[in-house]
Amino acid sequence: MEYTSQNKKDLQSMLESCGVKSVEELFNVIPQELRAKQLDISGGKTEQELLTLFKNLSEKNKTLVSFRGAGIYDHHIPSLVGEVTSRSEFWTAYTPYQAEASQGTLQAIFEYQSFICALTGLDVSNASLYDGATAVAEAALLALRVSGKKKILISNALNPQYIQTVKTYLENSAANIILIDTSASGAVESSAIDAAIDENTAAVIIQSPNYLGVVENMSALSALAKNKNALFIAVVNPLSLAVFQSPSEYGADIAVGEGQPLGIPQSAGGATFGFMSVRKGLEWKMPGRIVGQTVDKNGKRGFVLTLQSREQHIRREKATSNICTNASLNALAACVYMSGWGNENFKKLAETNISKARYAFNKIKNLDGFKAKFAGAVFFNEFVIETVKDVKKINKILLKNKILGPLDLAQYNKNFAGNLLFCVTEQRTKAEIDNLVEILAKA
Amino acid sequence: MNIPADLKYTKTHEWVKVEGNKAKVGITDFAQHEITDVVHVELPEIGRTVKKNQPAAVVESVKSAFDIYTPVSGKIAEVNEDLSGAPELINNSPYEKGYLFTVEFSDAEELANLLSAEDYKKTI
Repeated sequence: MEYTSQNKKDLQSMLESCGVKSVEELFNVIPQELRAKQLDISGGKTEQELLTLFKNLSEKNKTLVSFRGAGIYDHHIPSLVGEVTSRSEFWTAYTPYQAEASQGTLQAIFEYQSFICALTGLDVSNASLYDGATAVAEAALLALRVSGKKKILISNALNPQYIQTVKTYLENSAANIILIDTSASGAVESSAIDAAIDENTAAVIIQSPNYLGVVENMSALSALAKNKNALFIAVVNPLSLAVFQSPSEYGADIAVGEGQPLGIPQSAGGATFGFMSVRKGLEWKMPGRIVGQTVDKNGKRGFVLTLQSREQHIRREKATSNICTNASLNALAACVYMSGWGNENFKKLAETNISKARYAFNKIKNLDGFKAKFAGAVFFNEFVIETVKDVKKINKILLKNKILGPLDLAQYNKNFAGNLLFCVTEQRTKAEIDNLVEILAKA
Repeated sequence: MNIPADLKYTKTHEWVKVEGNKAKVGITDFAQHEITDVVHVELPEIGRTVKKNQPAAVVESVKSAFDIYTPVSGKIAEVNEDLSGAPELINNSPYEKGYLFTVEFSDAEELANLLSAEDYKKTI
């Protein structure tokens, strides 16, 4: 439809249809004191003025060398990713799901789902969700829906923002969330789950590597969930799955996580995407859409949207989720990212993360005034270092040296004062790590 | 269009076969044809009490999902388990292998309001 402006006559006839005389009368229901008196908006700007404005703004940005993760990671994004995702067929189309017109988009989503299934080892992946936090919350809802039970056990070492999101989702439901603390090892102990789990437990949600960087004993925890007929929900870093056991290997029913490590830029907290895959049998209760492969009447391979009918645009009141948003372009980026690396190099990339993080860990923990918080813990690219030094001062000095320092875990939990969560990805060079260590030694 | 004369029907395209104190329920050949390929069926729990004209099952096709209303009140006596593995039975055999559930009906008078094959034909 073309844009059609209104004249006074149009306005008058609209007001008449509403049964009011003026715009003022239309808004009478809103008390005067709640209305904006004047909007603080400057007048129009020329293109030239606008470019200058934004150039000045962008010059305030500082380029930092990042040693911080905590949910969003600084990974290299090969040019290939942007090259493919910026193609107009993918870039501009909104909900291009008509099978007749959108075979390319549908195939791309199908390939993405296949990658997620390959990574997690589970049977069915949806076309992606809004982000990691909502994917965890949706997994909790899925478990409640399938089991008909009311209790959910969540590791306290789950990303705190994810815990908050799950709580928000379940706030007005009958579900009962029980947080399980980690032990001094930084991991959830079997005994802690054993003490809290019962026949009324719908699911156990464990993140690995957890928010403290520690890899959990997923097999043992999953077995405990199985014993009580509870679902086991694994929250995983997708890149770490290239080297660690897959969720299917330790019997997870649902695997979810944040897809950002797979070729999505870090940009002020979003947009990213969440992934979800489930074992066979749960797919009918899963939120979101799935692209399936089929054949047309001539026997040629084709792709179609399946499970669409459970989405809110068709049966809103019975939809499995109220955010069925599939972050399609970012899922496509992940698909290109994974296919670009290929099996061997994807694994090498994960190994590089581990070896660089391990190098930094060994150097930092041996400095005077620093020590490993969880000695002996297995980690991927994040680890916790305890220090007797002033944490705020350390990060200030690092910032002066154009380094985004580790996360101060006192923000996360008061008991973690003096603890720093470092992240080292493949992006960090040996020189950068050595420089960090040198500054920390003097700090 | 196959509309067996020995069955009863509803305006919402369910068919009913009365066997003693039980009513077998499914969707008509017309309905399965309209909704196209069925991909999933949600069946009620056995023993659940259902009320006439209230949703008792869900049939999901590639097009959309549809509530199936029970034509009579009563208790769910039996459900067609075969549908969970082969929902296409609804398309291939709507009146036989593709039935949905049977209801042990509590009010025989409700049956009187159902449509005959002849009357159902007029509604479609």
